[in-house]
This record gives sequence, structure tokens and C-alpha cells, in this order.
Amino acid sequence: MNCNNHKHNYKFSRRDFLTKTSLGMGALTLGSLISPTDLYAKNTYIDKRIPHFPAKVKRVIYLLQSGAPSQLDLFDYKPLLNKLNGTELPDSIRGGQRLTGMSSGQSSFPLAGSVFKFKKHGKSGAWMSELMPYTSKIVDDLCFIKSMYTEAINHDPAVTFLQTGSELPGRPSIGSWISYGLGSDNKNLPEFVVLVTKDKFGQPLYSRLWGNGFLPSKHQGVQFRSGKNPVLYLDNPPGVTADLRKEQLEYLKKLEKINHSDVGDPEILSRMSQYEMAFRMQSSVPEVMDVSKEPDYIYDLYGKESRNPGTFAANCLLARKLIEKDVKFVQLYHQGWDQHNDLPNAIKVQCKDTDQPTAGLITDLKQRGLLEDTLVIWGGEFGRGSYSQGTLTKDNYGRDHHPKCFTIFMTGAGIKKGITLGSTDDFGYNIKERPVHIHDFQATIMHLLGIDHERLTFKHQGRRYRLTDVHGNVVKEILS
Amino acid sequence: MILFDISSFFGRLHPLIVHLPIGFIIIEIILEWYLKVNKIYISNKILSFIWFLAFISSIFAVFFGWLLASNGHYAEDNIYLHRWSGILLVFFILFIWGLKSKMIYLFKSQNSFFNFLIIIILLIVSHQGGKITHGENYILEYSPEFIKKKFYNNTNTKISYKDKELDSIEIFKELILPIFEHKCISCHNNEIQMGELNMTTVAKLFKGGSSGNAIINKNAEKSILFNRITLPQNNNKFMPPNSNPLTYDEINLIKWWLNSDIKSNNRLSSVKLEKTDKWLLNKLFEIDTKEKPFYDKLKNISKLDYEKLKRLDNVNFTWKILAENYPLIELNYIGNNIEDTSLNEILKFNENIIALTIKDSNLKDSHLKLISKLKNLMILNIQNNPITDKGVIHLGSLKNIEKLNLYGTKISNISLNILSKIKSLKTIYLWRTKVSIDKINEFNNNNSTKVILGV
Repeated sequence: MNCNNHKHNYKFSRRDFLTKTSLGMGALTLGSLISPTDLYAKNTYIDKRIPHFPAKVKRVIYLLQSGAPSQLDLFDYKPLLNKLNGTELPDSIRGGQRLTGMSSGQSSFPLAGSVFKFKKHGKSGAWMSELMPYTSKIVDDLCFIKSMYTEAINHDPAVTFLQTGSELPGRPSIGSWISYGLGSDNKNLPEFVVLVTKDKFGQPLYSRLWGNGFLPSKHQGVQFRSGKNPVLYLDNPPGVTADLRKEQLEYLKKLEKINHSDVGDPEILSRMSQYEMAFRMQSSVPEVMDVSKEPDYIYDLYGKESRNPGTFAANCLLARKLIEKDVKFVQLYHQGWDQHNDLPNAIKVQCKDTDQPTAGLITDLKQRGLLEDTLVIWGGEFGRGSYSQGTLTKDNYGRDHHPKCFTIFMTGAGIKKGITLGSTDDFGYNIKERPVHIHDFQATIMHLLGIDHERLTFKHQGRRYRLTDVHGNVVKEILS
Repeated sequence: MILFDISSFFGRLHPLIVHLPIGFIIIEIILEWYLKVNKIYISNKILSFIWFLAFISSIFAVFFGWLLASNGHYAEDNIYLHRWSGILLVFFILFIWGLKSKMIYLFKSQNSFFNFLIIIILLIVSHQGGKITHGENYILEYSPEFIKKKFYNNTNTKISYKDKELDSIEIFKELILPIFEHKCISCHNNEIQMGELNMTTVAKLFKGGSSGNAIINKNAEKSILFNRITLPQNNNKFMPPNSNPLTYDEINLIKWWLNSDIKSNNRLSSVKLEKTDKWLLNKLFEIDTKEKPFYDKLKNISKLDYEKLKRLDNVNFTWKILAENYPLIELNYIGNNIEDTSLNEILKFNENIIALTIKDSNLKDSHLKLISKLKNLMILNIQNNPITDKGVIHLGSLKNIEKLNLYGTKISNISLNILSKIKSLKTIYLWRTKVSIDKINEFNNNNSTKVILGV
């Protein structure tokens, strides 16, 4: 029988105090004997929001291609797959790799070569398929990583992992970490803005992907929508004037101040600053969302869809405007890349949506000098496999999820231009050289922004958390 | 040769034999103390006999020690104190033996006094001996930090040229000579020249010693020096002959040096470095071969005063600190009509400012005169302002400017001529200006500075 039942009443009895503190003192002494300088933890909190080291990147645009684009049909040229088209995927290549429930029941796994033609482009000679004619023109400005890999095999855990460093929901998104670590450059707009392409379907996107997790809520991503109300519930209700709202907020502030001095909850401060931010955003958001003054040649650059608010092209144009206004992290989501069947047709639509706007955005940033301190990232949450899901016909096939390798590309500040890092085997199935894990990728983004990913932590539930958990190595090869 | 071998054989018994007199002395002193405390009286003959044993064994120890030293593996400087304090100890033991056998009487408490004295001498001798055999830091190497901090004599301090520029590091004097000084020069210096070799200067190394030229320019394999340090360790000619050979990295460094064009005052900036050389130099000397950004070269910049910085908010400038431990700021104008007063306010932080952005704010030519006073400015972004060639003339005095964004201004070809004279410039943005495409193409072909244009 446990005689210590009284413990829940007296969490720290006299006896407990004596045993625990004496042990503790012993440990302290031993600790100081072994290494006295390490006895005191280093201060990991950031007060003044100063980068750990000089940063090349001041802002990030992340073009997240939700659903996982097929690297084998876009960037990772594998002629062997065309040669062996229709033959069985060798077991030696698959190596017992787990498959999703969608194709694991297939009796055969016929290799599927891409139906699209590949060509080398630019001085760097990067392979690109015919699906991306505009991006192909700017390959000398891009840095491809062909050896990305992740741990999750399904969309939701994979995209959560990519965004928050954990497959389980609840951790802060990259943009929130960066907002928390670096603070704001424009007090009239949020540090972290999210734009989702309208009318697209596919894998669901939840607001927790740009959520602040356990960080103070002012670091969460703010979604800007197309149409009359870019930010939901931002406008004053009919009959409430700006002056009235201002007065109301001032009184609210007084009340919240009393409340905070009583309770001491930091979330009250967070909320106060958000009310004020929302008030300022009532004039700053319409200003930044107004694209009517953009000249025609800019619309031409991003493609004709850029005149249609809410499309990927229009969002790219908006992203540039937000970056010009010193928003720190702009994240675009574009759904519809999850092509389990009818890939050759479906991917064409996706590329038409994204190719010209992406290239246009990069060109536009470059001519304005913004690429000097902006990082642009294009990529999905994992890759797609080299065997056909479903029946393989002469000109049609599908591809299942493939976490073991995929391709992303980046450009902008601090990144080497016109290079390709890593490679996959001839089957496009396994990584041949320089694997880059999601945590490495996250650590690299942080590094470029001047943050040591091991030092940016937040204490929650008794432990300090970081974006990269206990992992992550900066990919030094791509840094310029 | 046989004689030499025998003397070496006995010489090497020295570290073994020395412990006999040490043991005798200590047992004698403890015994005397024990007898005295417990008031036991025994014959003085026993006590003096132990001193006699100590005397005989110490003679052997000194003799073997002399043999060991005469084999030439030790620099006299290092063993001088040990040699002579050891001999002194022998005489001292003899003297005490005399005391104990009642042949000498000096004063009343002579026994305890001389016991105390002999322990002091013994400590000195054995400490010196231990130092020769095991090296100075043998005992303290793994001592707790607080002891180490006080007593540990860090002779192997890594030489660090972390903050030195490549053009100020002399290859021989600062990279090679320290290795020689540590491991060779005690036998090959201006006074002692074993094998007639003096290793203190490049010229003397070229001259060499009794076996010929020690080093040969651009040829490590044929250089005797390199040959000797890479022989098997049991070879008679292996250098250095004592138990402290050069490390793998040191050998590689010497190889790299010998294969280069050796000159006495060559600087590191004058030689081409391969990837492995860079790695080696970084490992041994923490030399950073990467080109440093401008802000890392800045020194003695005054600290930032946060209270004063806050005043910049009043003139519509937002400021960001470059990074921890950098007293440098990046400024961004957030108003839409810049005035002289605002610029005068930022000039108070002249040397702290490395980046300045004033876009779309009616910045005029006259303002550029003020901006051109910023002596540490690296990045200037003044896009979309009514600036003309007349204003750009002022920018000529920005000696450290690397990135200049002039897109959307009214400048023309003349400005590009002015800008081509600023050597530090790396990138210029000229989209939507009056500068002609032909002019830009010509400029891009003839300059390392890159002009970036748009669609």
C-alpha cells in the first residue's frame, strides 16, 4: 500500500523539501565542479528582437504547393523510367518501403516514365520539363534541392511537419516562429500573412497550419482573402464610425490594463496589441490590397489570371506588394497537386496556374531589388512515386505519395544561384547524394534570417520547444 | 656502438631507479616521526642505515640519469635544474647520513629541520624529473576546472589568427616558425646547431646543415627537413628525436609550405589556397579564408544608445539592429515626404548606419548631399524618387557602398559613368530609369559591378 497518499495535499512537505533540496545541492556542487561555467543556463529569450547574426534574408515568400507536385514530371529527369516504362519496380529499389493504403493493394507496380519532354535550360543546365516554360527561363536564378525527404506519408501530417516541425498539430508555424524571433518591420501590418488560392480543391488546409501554437497569439498568420473583406471581421459594423471605434478601444485598453495588473496573463497584452493592430489595419489593408494602380506590363508579367483576385497569380502579385510593405513572412497555399490518377492532364492545369506567376514574381522582385533580401521558396510537402498508381496506359498514369525524395526550389537572398543540390537514383525512388531533411530545410530558413535555430526557443509545459525539435543542420552548401 | 647501447640501456633505467632513494627517504622520515610521536626508542644504527641505503641508491640514480642525459635526446635548458638539483640531493643525503650517525652535530632540532629541507629538495627534483618525462601538464590535465584555471600552464595554447586579415599573416614567421619553435629550435638555434643546422630563418634553412640543404623550394619530397620528420619513428634519423613528433596536421602544413614558393616574408594573401589548405589553416590557426563582409571589418564603432535611437521614430525612421554584438543599424523611412531635418537626425548615428531605405518619399538631389556623409553605408535604396544625375554626383563619396537601388529615378547615362568610379559597388538597380540599354550592356561587359534591369 502506498503510504504517501497525503502527497497530493502537501505537494512539498518538510521532508520532501529536505530530501530534494539536499540532493539538489549535491547535484549543483557536482555540476559546478565538472564545469562551473555551464552551471547557469544561457538566456535564450529574445527581448530586443535582434537577430543572432547578420542576416541576408529580411523577408520570406513561401509558395506552398499543397498536395505534393510530382517532381518526376517537373524537375527530376529520369530517362530510365521511360526506357523501363511498364516494367515492374524492382524490390531492391523499393527496399520494403511502406506505401499508402491507396496503392499498397496493387498487384503490380509498373514504372511510369514521364510523358513530358525534358530539356536543359540556362547556363546552369538545369533540367526542366515542358510543363514550366516560364520558370525554365529563370533557372539560372534558382537553387534546386532534389534530395528533400520527409517522414510522413500522408498529406496532413506531412504538411503539418513541414510547417511546424511536428507531425502532430499544435506547434507554431514557421512564420509564427519568425514573427516571434524577429518582430515586426511594419507596425501597420501583421508580420505573417497567408494567402490561399480561391476555388481550389484537394487536400484540406486548416488555419492551424499558420497558427501560433503555444506562442503568443499575435504571432499567428493572418489570412487575407480576395473580395470585399480581405480580413474577416476587420471592418467596422454598419453605423460604427472610426472615431467611435477608436474611443471604444481606448476604454477597452484601460479595462484590460487593470485586468492585466490583476491576473498577469500575457495573453491580455497580446490581445490589446491585436486590437490596436486591427484598428491600424482598417486603413493599411485596403491600401495594400488595392492593385488597381499596377500597370499593364506588371499584369502581363504575372499572367492574365493576375487580374482575377484570389487566383495564385493575383496572390503572387499581392505577395510582392506585402513584401514591399515589409511584411516578414508571406505564405501562399495552392491546392490541387495530389494527382493519384490522370496525372498528365491534371498537372497541366496546376502548372498553368502557377508557372508564369512564380516566374513573374521572381522577376518582379529582382527588378525592384527586392530579391536582395527576400527568400522565395517553391515546393510541396513530399514527392510522388515512380510507379503508376492505377492502370498505366500509353499516355496516362497516376502517382502515389512518396516521402523518400522530392524536389523544391528556392531563390533570393543568401542562396547560391543556378545550382542543384543532391540527386536521386535512376529510378527517382531513393536519394543518391546529400539528403536534406525537413528539419534541415527549416534550420536553413532560420539561418538565412539570422536566427540560430537551436537558440530560438519557447518554454511551454515545462520544456523549451524549437521549430526543429532536437534536429536540423543548416544546409551550408546552398548558402552564398 | 655497443658502448652507446649499453649506456642507453642503463640510462633508461633512471626513471626506475630514482624511486628507490625517494622511497627510502620517505620511509625514513615517516618512521622517525612515528617513533617520536609514540615515544619508541630504537637503535640509531637502524635509522642511519636507511639513510645509507638512500645515499647508495641515489648515487645510482644520478649516474643513470647522467647517462640518459648524455644520449642527447634532451635540450640542456630543460634538464639543467633536474640534473644539478639531483646531484645536490645526493650530497645532502650524505650529509644527513652523517647527522644521523652522530658524526655531525650542529644545533638542537637539527633533525626535524633537515628532514623538512630534504623533502623540499626532493619535491623540486622529482617535479623537474616528472616534467621531463611526462610533460608539464601531465598531472593537471584532467584536474577540476577551478584548479586548472589557477595552475594549469597552458603551453599548448592554440595560436589563433581569427581576426587577422590574410595580407597581414606572414607565412614563415607566423605559421611555420611556431611549430619549429615548439619542436625543433631547442637543438637548432643560433647558439646550438645540432647537425650544423639553424632553423630560425628561411635563409639558414636553405643553407641547411651537415647533410645538405634542409629545404628545397617548391619541393617537399626532396627536402631533407620533410624527409626527416616523416621517417619511421624508430629510425635513427627521425626528427625530432625525443618523444614529441610533429602532428599529422603540422606535417601537412610544412608540406604545403615547402611546395609553395618559399620566401622569407611571404604573406598568406600572396599564395593560392586549395580547399584542403583552407581547411588546414582554419583547423590549426582558426584562419578565416572567406572574404569577410564589410560590417565584420568595422572596428571601434561607438555603441548604440537605445534612448537616442527611439528619437528616430519621431522623424519616421524605423531602425533595426543588424545582429547581436553589432552596433550597426539598418534604417527605413516610413513617411512619404523626406525632409532635411529627418536626415540630419539620422546623421547623428553616422558611423552606425550600414543600410538606408528611403523609397517613394520625394527625395531630392539636395538630400543626397546629406546621405553621402554616411561613411559606413553599404546598402542604399532610394527607388522611386525624383533624383537626377546632379544628385548622383554626391554619391561618389560613399566609399563603402555595395548595393545601390535607383530604380524609378530620373537618372541617365551620365550617372552610370559616375557610378563606375565607385570601386566598392557590387549591384546597381536601374529599372525604369533613363539609362539606355546599350549603355548598361557596355557597362556590364566592362565592370565587375552588375547592373540589374527589369522587363
